[in-house]
Amino acid sequence: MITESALLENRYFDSVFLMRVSKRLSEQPGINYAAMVMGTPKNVQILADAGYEGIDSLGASSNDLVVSLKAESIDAAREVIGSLEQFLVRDTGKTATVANVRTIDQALTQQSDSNLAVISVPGEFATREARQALQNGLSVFLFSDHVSIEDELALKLSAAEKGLLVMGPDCGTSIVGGVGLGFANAVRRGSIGVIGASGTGTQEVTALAHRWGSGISHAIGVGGRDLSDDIGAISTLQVMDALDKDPNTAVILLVSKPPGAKTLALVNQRIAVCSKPVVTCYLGSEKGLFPNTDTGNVTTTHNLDDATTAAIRLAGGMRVDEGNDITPDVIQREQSKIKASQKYVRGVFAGGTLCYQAQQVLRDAGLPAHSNEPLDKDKLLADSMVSVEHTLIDMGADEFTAGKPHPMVDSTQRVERILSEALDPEVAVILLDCILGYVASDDPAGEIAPAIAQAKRTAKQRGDELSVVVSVCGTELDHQGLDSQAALLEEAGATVFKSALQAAQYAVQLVANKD
Amino acid sequence: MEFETEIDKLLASPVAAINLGVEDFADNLETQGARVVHVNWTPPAGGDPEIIAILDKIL
Repeated sequence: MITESALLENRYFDSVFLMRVSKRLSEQPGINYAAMVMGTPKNVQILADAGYEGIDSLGASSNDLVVSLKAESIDAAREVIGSLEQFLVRDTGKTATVANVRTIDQALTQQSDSNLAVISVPGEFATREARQALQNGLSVFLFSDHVSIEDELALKLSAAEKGLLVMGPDCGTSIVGGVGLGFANAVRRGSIGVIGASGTGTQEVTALAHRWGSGISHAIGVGGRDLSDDIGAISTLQVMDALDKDPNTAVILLVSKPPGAKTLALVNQRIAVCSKPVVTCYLGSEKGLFPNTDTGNVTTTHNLDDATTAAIRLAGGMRVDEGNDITPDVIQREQSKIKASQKYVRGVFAGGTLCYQAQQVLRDAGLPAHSNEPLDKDKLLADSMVSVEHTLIDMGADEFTAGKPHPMVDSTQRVERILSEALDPEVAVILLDCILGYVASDDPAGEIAPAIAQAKRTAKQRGDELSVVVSVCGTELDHQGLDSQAALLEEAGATVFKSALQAAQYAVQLVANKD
Repeated sequence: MEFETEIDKLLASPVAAINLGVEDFADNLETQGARVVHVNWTPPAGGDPEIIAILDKIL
């Protein structure tokens, strides 16, 4: 395999567009991998580290497009590079682009009552744009990652001074007054207000609330570090104040990793004087540290399903039972197919929070899992590409998304990982998620279903029965179609749940008592 | 209606967004019926951090 790279000067494209193009390039004859990034110093470094040789000698700037191909032959690579322009054409007729608008100031002349800046430029430039948005009186949805914690603190302090909000950085999901920002699911409006320091955690609780008969007033992402002691929950507390006053919100649901000690005290003080009931869900905390309790106006929960159920109850509703045909008989039958030598769960996740929650389920069951994003530092994988024992991988982590599509947009890398896990005869269960919603792939189930069927066949050929368990995060309002996506996965031989918690619990049941 | 903060006002008003970066996000907002202006953003000063720092001081 050879590596061939090229530079297109002064050609800026956004990251999601480049993800789609790189996918198409990798499908061309003779091309094994294709990476397309803007030539920021960080991107160049990441690609060089990932083995794309010669990248650092191109002399790229942030405004230059870098293309690097791993191909079977130099001719195959050069043919694709020679025809790049045909891949760099956008779909027309569905964009809000106004060609002459190049700055926030100019955009404000077009829409003077703007109230929100949605910022997803490369991290190196995100702070600057967010600062300008705040100076212009706009709250910010900051999707960009690689923003330093110092910059995050400065932006949030500046915003708070102005009575404005910074959602993020690295904020994947918000729903403001029924409008989904970033990767959000289509949900009905209702009286649960969500504060989310985790993207897919917010998606899961909002989708569950919808499917279980309730609805969402607002779901506001605050960024994964907001409840750290470095930031001190600046955005979380602002949103709690706002939801406390919001007439459409009856109950507030807070989803986060466990807060820093000082910040937890701050949050608890604020909750104590909240006029509305508050449900907390601190994922990744040791079982027993935040046990399921109702004290005063705060209900503490340990997982996303319990959190959603409590919020529905406190909002005056009743959780609609979706039914579950996984009976003890079914579990016993599945268990009996798995050989004694098949001991391990391998999770291949698109959603970081869903991976995190699954690790918590395994740990609580006495089966701690290794991960590239581990609950406990001593379970950090030495090599993200190599699973050991129980391993749950977050495929949205940096090492997998450098110049390549995020798994919520494209499943190519997940497919490869699913097939490689199936080669290990010690694997009993492959645990997956399938995330629907705005901006996500149009057919995530269709992308992974062939790999699921292939994985099961691979195991069968050596005389093993491999169980594949998938949770679908979404609603019937999502454009991908909840039931049709679930049906595709079932047809491929997967056991499908519409809750990531239930899927992880089922996976644990299949391997329990194996050691 | 009087609002204590801009956040209170944001939660009570229709989203009117300015989008910088991923164009799909602007398309997605339009699809949902929200108003949005997409900024045809490129790295300022060709992405040169030294020139950007100078510009930020001047402006």
